[in-house]
Amino acid sequence: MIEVIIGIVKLILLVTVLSVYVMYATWYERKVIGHMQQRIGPKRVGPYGLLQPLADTIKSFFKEDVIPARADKPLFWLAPILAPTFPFAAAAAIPFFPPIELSNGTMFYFSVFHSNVDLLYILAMMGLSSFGVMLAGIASGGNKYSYFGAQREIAQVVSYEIILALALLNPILMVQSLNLTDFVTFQQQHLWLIFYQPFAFVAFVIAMVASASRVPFDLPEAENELVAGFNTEFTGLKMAMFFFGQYVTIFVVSALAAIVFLGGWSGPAILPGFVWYWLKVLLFIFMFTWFWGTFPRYRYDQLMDIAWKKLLPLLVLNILWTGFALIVHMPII
Amino acid sequence: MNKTYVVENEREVIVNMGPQHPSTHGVLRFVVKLDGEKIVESDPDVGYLHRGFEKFAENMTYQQFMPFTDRLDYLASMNNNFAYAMAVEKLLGISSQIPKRAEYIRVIMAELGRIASHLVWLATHALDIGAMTVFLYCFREREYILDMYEMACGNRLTYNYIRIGGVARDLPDGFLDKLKEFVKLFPSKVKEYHTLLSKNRIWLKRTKGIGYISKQDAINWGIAGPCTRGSGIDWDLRRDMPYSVYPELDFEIPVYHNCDVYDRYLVRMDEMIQSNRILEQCIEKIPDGPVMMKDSPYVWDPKEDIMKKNYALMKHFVKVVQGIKAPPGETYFGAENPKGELGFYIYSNGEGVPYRMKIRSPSFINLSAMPVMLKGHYIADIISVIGSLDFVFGECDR
Repeated sequence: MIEVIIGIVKLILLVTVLSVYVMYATWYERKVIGHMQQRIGPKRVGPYGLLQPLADTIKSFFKEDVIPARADKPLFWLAPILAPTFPFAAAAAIPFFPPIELSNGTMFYFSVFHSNVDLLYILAMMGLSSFGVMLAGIASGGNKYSYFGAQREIAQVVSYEIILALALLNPILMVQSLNLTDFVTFQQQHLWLIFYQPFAFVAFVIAMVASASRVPFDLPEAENELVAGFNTEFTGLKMAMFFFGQYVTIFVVSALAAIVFLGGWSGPAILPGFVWYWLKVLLFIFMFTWFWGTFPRYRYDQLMDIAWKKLLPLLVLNILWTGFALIVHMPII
Repeated sequence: MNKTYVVENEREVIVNMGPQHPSTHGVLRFVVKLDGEKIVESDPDVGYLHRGFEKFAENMTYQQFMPFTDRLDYLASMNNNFAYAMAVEKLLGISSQIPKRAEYIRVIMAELGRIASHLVWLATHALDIGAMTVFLYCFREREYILDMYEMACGNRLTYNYIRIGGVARDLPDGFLDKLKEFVKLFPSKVKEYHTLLSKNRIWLKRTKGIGYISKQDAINWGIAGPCTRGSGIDWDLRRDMPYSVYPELDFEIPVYHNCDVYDRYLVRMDEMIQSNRILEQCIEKIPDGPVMMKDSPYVWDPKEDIMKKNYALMKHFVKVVQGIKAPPGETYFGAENPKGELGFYIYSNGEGVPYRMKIRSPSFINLSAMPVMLKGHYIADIISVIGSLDFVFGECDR
């Protein structure tokens, strides 16, 4: 009984914390990109524009909700609901703090859902998270730009999802577990996995940017080509839901990268573990913004080219090499 | 646009890009027939910003038409003023009598205009391909130029500064100092843009080999300006049909030979540096003296004279009401504008207004070659080609 209550409390906390996080992620991003572009960013609402996300939320709530006459109404409603659902589901397996040992000897985990197949579960949910975008394109009543956006999203999913999984396979082979806590324990005993698997790390970073549909892979909503891509026809809160999903995805992949490759909450003892962990997550979130401020956009055939012709063969070779090195007990591993 | 497209099989889709589309630079309507995202056929449709400038000109004195030229290519208004003034001066036969200082001021303004126009081109071109930061960096420098323009003539977009026979007023105090500062600063800024884009792998992938137009095609379509120089044609009116004080200045014409978007990009980047060089020389060479012709039947007297002298007031009245009586005949003058050759063809039958005026607008002619460049490319390439052609609809539709 107590476990159910704890689970429900955790779930409520997760949704609350992530909602606030998403709001302030937009603020953070606008501030960072603003300073990169020699602007100031939001500053009018509240001190340092800190209430800007609140204003944006209120605005999106009160916007007129337009549904095109030719739209497929049930799907048109379903798409914005699905868009943040799966990223949230994935976030359920992400720990927010390092686990603590209780007085009775059991571990208390700061993730809603803790199991031995964390990674598999997260990857599955990430794969599903593009459903919202696909449905949005299909439901938009024959808007060609929406359709192209959905088409690009499908092309993107089949390209990056496999890279994401294969890039994680190398660390999985080394740690021999799918449990995120085991990854951190492994890295506390050895070096961080980024030093063993630099190439897998690079591939993972590329795939994670693609999975969050951010620059340089923001093809489904490429504003300059497809007006707004899949969310051309969506207004107000419905449109905000897609961004909601996107920012939660960014958080999930950032946390994943921090745990799997950068050692999670392991770090020099000058700072407590959770500070290290959040610093690393914020570093990756910063990286997303940095990319946004620096890179132009790929064409969608070029993204598939990178994924299928360059990263996939190299990653397969990397896996073979890792397996070989593990079998012969090479000292570097 | 007078074709009707028919979808031949279910793979094909017809997309109507524009006139309200974020990256069609104004009001271009572009009908594309797509197979997946590949372009099968494409057809630009222009005319949404048509305001009938050529007809307006037939009912206006030569001086009255000057503010209209501002509204042609509104990113380089000064250059339009310049080209129009030169065309009328050629018709009147007073090209050689313009005071030296006025000529130098005109060249300074024109080259600043070229830099400003190229900055907007780079900003929007990069933004279309997804590089957002370049956009703001370019506008930062353009702001500097607009401030200078504001010093000189009080306006920031439509200047109406150059007059037939000279310029409206002399440069204000401190203008040349500010210009010196800008000229010193600017090359480092161009280097900044180069670091962001020129060697960027994504930028190269998006621009190299895209929008190919061969040397022969470029000539056949009559493309002018940076677009031709990106196709390996060494042709610049400032050097090949010299006007104003350009023969006295030392500058190079950048020419690249790969005929694609990337080379057109490089041409414009180099042109900014060359314009900067011209400005440098102008600061040193600019002489003192009057900035407006005097005692000419075609030019208004100075304002002080009109206010004080009776005869000057009478002359002014006649010139304003009846217009300056240009000798009968016809003339064509083309100037090297940032977008290409902007030409004014004026036919006069001796009255105060032109009988007919034709504007050769580079944007329109460059745009007409777009279907050639787009064959076999993807939908995302449309916008990089649009960016590389750098057209402005005020000028294209006139």
